[in-house]
Amino acid sequence: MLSLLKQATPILSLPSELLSHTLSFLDTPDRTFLASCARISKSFNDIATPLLYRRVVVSKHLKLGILGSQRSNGGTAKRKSLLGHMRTLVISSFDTELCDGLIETFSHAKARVKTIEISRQDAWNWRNGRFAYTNSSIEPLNPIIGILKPTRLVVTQSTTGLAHNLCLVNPLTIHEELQELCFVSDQGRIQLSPSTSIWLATLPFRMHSLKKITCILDLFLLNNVRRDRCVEDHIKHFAETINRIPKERGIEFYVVDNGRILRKSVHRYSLARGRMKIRFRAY
Amino acid sequence: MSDKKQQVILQTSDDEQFTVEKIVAERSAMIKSMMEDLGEQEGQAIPLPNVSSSVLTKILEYCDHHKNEPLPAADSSDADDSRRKTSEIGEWDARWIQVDQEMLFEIILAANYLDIKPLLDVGCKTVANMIKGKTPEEIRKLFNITNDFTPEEEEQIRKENEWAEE
Repeated sequence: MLSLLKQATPILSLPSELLSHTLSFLDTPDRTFLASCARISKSFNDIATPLLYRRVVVSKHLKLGILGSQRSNGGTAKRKSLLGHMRTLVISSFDTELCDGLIETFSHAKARVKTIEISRQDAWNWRNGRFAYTNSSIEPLNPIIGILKPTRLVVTQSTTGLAHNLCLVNPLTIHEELQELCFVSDQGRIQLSPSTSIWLATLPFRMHSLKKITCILDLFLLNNVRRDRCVEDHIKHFAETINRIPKERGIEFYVVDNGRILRKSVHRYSLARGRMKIRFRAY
Repeated sequence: MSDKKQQVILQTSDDEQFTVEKIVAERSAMIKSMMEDLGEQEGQAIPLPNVSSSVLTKILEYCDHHKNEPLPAADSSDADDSRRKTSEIGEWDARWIQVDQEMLFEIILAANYLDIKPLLDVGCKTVANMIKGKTPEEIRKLFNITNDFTPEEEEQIRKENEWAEE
């Protein structure tokens, strides 16, 4: 009897809400941790799957899994139940096949996606000592945004220019459910042309559903992407960009580090570790 | 005179009694509310039928170390849920929780029962960090979990979730 007890699995002695709380700490941008948990056993699968599908990250059309073509993956009911968990869709590639696959999936099984994040890693390339921009069309994404109608659209810095085009070109993108538009800078500068700044500043007046525009400088991403430029420099660039945007109703600026808000900034910003003070000029 | 008021007696599942500083015992929201219910009744032991003396000894170490920190707000859980969760653990906590698996899961269960939220998080984060970066087979081995999938079922799940695999 005693030896039987010794062989019991202590981790499965946790009630499911505690196991779920444990696995929630694996709910990171890296989805492989939860994907591994879903394959351990049936009871782990039950708990890991809803957490995993809350944030779906797609990057290659060949690896869409259940999100891919209806023909190669059976089980419409299963697909529907999995997509039912989905709240955030991250798209990090705009290739036509990938987008077509997603369009097909979402036209058959509607998901309640609240947030779409667009981040394209390969849009900027390090070439000859500077970042070079590879222009490519964001157009294949338009129908997906049109079908899912997210309340929040997050665009990382490298795609900000594209986002501008997207918003102007396609009326579907700016749909009446859109409440928040968020620009995340992962390279310390939000690349906004003067015309984009004006577009951004006047957006709340043209779009009544839009409650919030946020610009975020993420020091955590920054540290990962480019370590060779000091953080102060990046913040300075960020501040300069912001100074070019007329301060209007509903635009907020944040400096965050690993998800923690260091500063919800409007007028001035002092660096957490001292040294440099930046004043965000008020218009 | 005031010394007596500052202490509380806790009685574990194996009938051991612990006399504990009030400020230490109050780390547990469950004990705190029981003390409030009991009021000023002298020498009344608070029964903890779900906690053994070995686990309580360990947990009291934690509570003692953190006794001067502010108690988390009762409704703080919703606020940080929307933010990205980190699995970082404080240096002292990380050293303190280096225990065998059996003790680790007993600590988690007791932290949940006693309602010590920061401790529950430390325990769960520790388990999460043990899982991080391992293959399903490695995780099964580590926690002695039986794979109750057929090979076909497991392959099916792997295919469905292919988008999440690197």
